[in-house]
Amino acid sequence: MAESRLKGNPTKLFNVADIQVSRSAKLIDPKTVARMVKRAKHPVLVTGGHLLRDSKLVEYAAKMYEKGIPIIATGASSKPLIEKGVEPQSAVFTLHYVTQFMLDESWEGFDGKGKYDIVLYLGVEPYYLSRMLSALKHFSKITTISLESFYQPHAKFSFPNLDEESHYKMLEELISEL
Amino acid sequence: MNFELKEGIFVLDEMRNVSIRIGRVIEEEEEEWKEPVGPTPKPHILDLRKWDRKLISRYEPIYAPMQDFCNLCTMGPCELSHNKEGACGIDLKTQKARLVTIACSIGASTHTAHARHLVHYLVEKFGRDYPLDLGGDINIEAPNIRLVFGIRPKTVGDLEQVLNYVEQEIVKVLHSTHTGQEEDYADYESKAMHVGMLDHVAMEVADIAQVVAFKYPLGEEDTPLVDIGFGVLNTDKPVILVIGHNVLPARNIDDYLREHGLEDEVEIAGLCCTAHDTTRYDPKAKIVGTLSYELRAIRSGLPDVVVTDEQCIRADTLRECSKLGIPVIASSETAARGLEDRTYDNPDVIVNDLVSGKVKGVLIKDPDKIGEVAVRVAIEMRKKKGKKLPFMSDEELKAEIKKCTGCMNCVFACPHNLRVDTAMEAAKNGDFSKFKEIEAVCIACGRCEQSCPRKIKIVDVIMKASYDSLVAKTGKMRVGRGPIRDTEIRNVGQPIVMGTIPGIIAPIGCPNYPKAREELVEILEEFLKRRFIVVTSGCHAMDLGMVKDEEGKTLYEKYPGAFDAGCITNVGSCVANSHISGAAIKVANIFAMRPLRANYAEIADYILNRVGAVGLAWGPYSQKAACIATGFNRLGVPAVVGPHATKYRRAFIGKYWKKEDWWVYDIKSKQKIYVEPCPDALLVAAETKEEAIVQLARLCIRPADTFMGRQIKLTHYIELSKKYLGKLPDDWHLYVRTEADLPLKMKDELLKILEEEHGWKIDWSKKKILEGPIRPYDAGFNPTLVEEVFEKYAKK
Repeated sequence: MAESRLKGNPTKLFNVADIQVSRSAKLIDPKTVARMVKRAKHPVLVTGGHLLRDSKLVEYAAKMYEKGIPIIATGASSKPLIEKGVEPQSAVFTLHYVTQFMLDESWEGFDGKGKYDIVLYLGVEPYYLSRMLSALKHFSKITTISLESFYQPHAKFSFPNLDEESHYKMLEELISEL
Repeated sequence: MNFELKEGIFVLDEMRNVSIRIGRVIEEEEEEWKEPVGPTPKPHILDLRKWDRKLISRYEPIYAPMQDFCNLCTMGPCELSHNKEGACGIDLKTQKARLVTIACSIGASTHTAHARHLVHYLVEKFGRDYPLDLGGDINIEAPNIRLVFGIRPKTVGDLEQVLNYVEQEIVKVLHSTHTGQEEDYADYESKAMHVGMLDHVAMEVADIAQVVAFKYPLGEEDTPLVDIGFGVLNTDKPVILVIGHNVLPARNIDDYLREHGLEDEVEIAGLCCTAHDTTRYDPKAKIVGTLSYELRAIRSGLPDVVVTDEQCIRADTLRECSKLGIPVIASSETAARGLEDRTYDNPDVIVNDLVSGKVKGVLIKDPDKIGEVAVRVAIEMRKKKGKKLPFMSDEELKAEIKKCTGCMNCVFACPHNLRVDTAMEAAKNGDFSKFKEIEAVCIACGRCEQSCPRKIKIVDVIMKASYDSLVAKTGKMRVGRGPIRDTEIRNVGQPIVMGTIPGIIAPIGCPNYPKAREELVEILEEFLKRRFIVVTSGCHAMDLGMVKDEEGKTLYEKYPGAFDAGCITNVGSCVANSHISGAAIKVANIFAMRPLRANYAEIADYILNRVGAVGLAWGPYSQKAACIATGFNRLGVPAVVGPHATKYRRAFIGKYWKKEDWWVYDIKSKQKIYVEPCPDALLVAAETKEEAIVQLARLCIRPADTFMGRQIKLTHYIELSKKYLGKLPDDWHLYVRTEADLPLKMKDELLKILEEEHGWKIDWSKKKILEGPIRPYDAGFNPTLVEEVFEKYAKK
């Protein structure tokens, strides 16, 4: 695992008061993420608004798509992704909608192939993502994996706190393992 | 026996132990208002539960817990994770709904107490019979009160009656949140909607009271433009800074200045809604900014005295002011700040105590006395301190920056995780550009300073390093105009309901934006150019006045102030939000002639199905904002909120694929039919401005749109989706009922997609849809979700 530059605890909360008594996310490395995605029946990557200001994240998401992971684009991240040749399963529904849909056992997914079993997240505003991960933690059985640069405590698995360079390295490693 | 009806207690002769109490006599009301009382006058806690359940069933609440435990009683704390039940039996979802209800009750209580204070003051000053005259252009003077309470208020005394009812209902809702009450989250959500509705009534009471008593603008579209921004203060004069939401002390300061010929000698400037209402009273007053400028305004050392009233005032105001020797005058019993009550003391003694520094502040409940004390203190303090010095020297700035070790504690403490560490690093090398970027997003909450092990004054550093751009943020705000005039509603009612005015966008609420306030302007200008109606209030209305284009103009200077297509109108402070809900209600009543009196469910149902109005709370933070939004939701008005709003824990989001959720009764065909899923959410967060723009456009679509209206709405939705999302919206086909709904310029292209990708049958010779839509278009389609409304009109 790439070494976290951030001093102190790699699982320090991006908002130190965002505390819950239930389990916090386990740290995960890129190889394990890749292994889990390969084993998954219906994985999906959810991208967020940070892709509008970080072209590297667009590049990494597009590469994951090329490796077979479908994308649900939120936060208007669809536009730069489409320019890279990605055809997202959905572009208009916000992360709030997507989470609500995922909480419904009867939802067949945007592609109609059944519920998603592993959901990866990249480029979402940390506090927004935190709330959505909390909803999924408490009210669903979906496996959530945060690929963000801030540790996300309410995911099932999360990257640690990372500086930009380390974050990019982790994503590159993940892509190479897919 | 003839009997004259009047208020009081009467004992009937020859009938021992029998007395009759007669409350308020409403004969005049009955005589003059021919409209019969509707089904829900003064609705109690369960009276609109059926309507709420319809909404909650379609727009299922989504809960995103902040905490997964409850510690409200001593059987706990209880772990509720994964929807476990606590010691009292409550599960996590219901507990979250309970917290939402509590938050909304706080919000409704706030406006109600504010209204009560204003009305109490007016009764004392002018008497209960003081008339509520809103002028000839506003005949429906109080749409929320008429709709909910069932009267047409004529005097200030009538407003007291309304508040009595609202207060009783809020207490009942709060009662329901005690341990061991509701066990179904939907029941708590219904109660949250109940107080949300009451909140709009209370806001209407508060604003009508101040509009008539203080002679604010009465719905004029060309109200004056006032100065706004951190740099508008003339610091050569003594400065009185008023903060909060209740205009009374600020108004009396303004009166004192005018009565003593000092209006050009002393600056009065406001923060938050008090600033709004002060400028409604006197357009010479200035606005420093919103809540996010409070700490900066104090730390700058610009004010000579700070006067606080109520709501959204930092809880460290006295401490912060005291550090700089700025006296504080608290005026509200709800925010006494630990200060001694000096209401009945001699003003000379109070002034002397404050100016000499003997006391840091005082509590004065009498607004008249505050008028005198604040002005005299400001003048004396300025004489004592002389010309204002910069709050931080360049050397002090360098010294503070030098202390930073890059530990990033501030970054983890910041609500936006702003990279203060990298800005500090750059500043050590003389590059302050990163601080300018941070200043634009920073809400100056001060959490960074609390976490800094080196005690760096980070807020001051950000302010000093970007002071030039901070003071350059000045502009013009159009003064809050109060109610929307009936004549305006007559002009726009039909095009709104037909859909040819594609929607009403209502930016309201607080300044807790995800990014810089400029984004708000970008969002709204997109809709102004497309000839939507924009109606704003509160902090959003203020921030819009602080952003100028390349020619130095704000939206208020670029677009007219009418309630009309392509115009932006500012109704005023938080409590003026009631005029926005009031406008939607008036459309149903004035244009569609739907009865208003105590007829809530029918009007809300009308609005949900026909009035394409959508709220935009891009920076909500408060319990008031949560309550206002929930009130709009009960009235059938959806809201798009900024990403911070997910911390409210609950949203209302429907599921487009569940056909069974999207039905209405059609009064014309007398059948229950399935409709397109619109609007498909009542409250939903967007992450970016681009996403918000697209959501606002799609949530304006309504089942009752005419084909022409739907065509216009779909055109905007599709264009905006292509512009900001890079593609056609995923769900556009769901809203197509007939080929006439399709945007003209794209008709062929879209018909082809419908045929090839969605399997619809198209007659290409006539370019006509033969098969595919959820339902066919019917010009007489008359939808309702309410059985009683269906029966009432279908039988005619």
